[in-house]
Amino acid sequence: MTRAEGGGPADSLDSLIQSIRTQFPFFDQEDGGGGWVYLDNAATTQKPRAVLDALMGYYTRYTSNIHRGLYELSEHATESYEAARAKIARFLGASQPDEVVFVRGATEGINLIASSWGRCNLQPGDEVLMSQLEHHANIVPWQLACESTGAKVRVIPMDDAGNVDVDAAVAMMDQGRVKVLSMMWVSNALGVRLPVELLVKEARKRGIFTLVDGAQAVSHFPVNVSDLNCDAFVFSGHKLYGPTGIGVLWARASVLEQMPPYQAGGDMIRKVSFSGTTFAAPPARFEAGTPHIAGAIGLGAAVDWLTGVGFDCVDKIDAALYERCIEMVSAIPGLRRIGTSRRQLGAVSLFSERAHPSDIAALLSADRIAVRTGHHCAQPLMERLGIPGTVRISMALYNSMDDLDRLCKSLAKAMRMLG
Amino acid sequence: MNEDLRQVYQDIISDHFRHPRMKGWSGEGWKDVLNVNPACGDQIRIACRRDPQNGQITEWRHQSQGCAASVASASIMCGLLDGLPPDLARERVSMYLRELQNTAPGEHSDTDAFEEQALLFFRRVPSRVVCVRLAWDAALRLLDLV
Repeated sequence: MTRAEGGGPADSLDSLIQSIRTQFPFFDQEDGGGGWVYLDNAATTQKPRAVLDALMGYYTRYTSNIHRGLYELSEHATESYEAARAKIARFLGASQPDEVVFVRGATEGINLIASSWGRCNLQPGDEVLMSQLEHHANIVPWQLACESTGAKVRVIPMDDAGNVDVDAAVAMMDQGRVKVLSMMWVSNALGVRLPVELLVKEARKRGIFTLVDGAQAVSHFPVNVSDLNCDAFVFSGHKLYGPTGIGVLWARASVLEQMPPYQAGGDMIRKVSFSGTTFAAPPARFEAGTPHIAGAIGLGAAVDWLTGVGFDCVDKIDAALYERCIEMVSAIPGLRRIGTSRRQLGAVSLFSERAHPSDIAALLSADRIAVRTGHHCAQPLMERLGIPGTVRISMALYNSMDDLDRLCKSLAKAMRMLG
Repeated sequence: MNEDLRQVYQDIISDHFRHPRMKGWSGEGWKDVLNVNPACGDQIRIACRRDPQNGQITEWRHQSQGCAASVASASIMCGLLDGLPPDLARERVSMYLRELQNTAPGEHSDTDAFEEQALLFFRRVPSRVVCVRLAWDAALRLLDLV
């Protein structure tokens, strides 16, 4: 990307990024993020002031439990918690807020579906179809569900660039044993965008249950579960500029209604007696115990914040950072890009034949540059690619072109040192 | 500290990573233990046997696939333990693991080998202590087998 002189598009992009960056107190802290180049956003993002204020607002002004307190504070907390649910339903294009279940994160959302829906619906010989690129969080819960039901996991092949073989996936579905398609929308390890829209459509035509892991998608492009027409969708709040420990499982109402509870406790029952218990309707049925109230409210604020920035703006920044990053790392000798699909966003994964990813990261860390290394919880993918791991650079809205300059200078230095 | 860390990389660690000593083994009587770092998938396999001529001392080798810290650690450790009787080897490994856990700055170290001291720099980077420990933890388990 060429930077324009005085007032051109690049300048306006820089000032846009700067205006976003100033909303993140992390970068102002001398004993915190100040001085750091933070490029591990696929792991977790920093939080804007709006989210921190929402958390502090709950903790300092109306801390109280939700749903059963008959006093003003509790009513305020309940309203804020349920308002967050409604915001998230709108954000996802869900038909009603009751389809939104608060969970700890995408991992718990998948576990909930695999455990509750999976164990009730999977039978011996059934197949759970997933991509080769999946995060362990989408592999292991289904393996456990398969172990207890006699079903089995099948993997859609991919090419060396990270492209899922759509024809092979459809052929596997046509064999008639696939009961579930559970797959990520964007690869956390490579940044490849998978053809989820197409495969969900093919799966639904054949009556296959569909779960989409949107953990790496929701902060990069607008999601509409009604248009996507999947059965269930999960994401984590902390990768969407929200708090840690909160996430969302969305599932269509007819799916949630037929699912048994996943955990039991307070707030998820209709009537309890020692002779038996009846359960509340969704989403309460799946939110046993006191939930992460502040987290849900903070996630609502994150969704508001991101909606305020707007996905047009997100797209513009994402594209510029990605293009610049590719251009710069491609010029560093000894580094090979892993994942070269044309459908990539957010993350750039690198591998070197002569320098171990952990050693590269250690040297970057010495220059106060945060990236992620290793298998990125995608060991089967690394095995397929024949590499132990990668160095992953993952970008967010507050990353500047200067961040990428610093990264690439440090990377080049590390490669000289280790090569 | 950053300069220290770089120095460690450039000198001892880097040398042992690029040219690992005591690599591979053949012959009878070897036992081996594989240690894997689940965070990055690095694999360090340590092998040990009692010397066929002198049953009182141990021989040490490794086969390592990993980062500079884990490979250099295996290389350095095998060099230090090779030829020691099992009791002394166990003492040395246990002492080293204790030292590795001690993160007090400027704390006196009982370790006299320069190469071991180099590895102790990783105490300052807790996430890399795991890499350094792989070989030594494997050695401790292995000593129960030979």
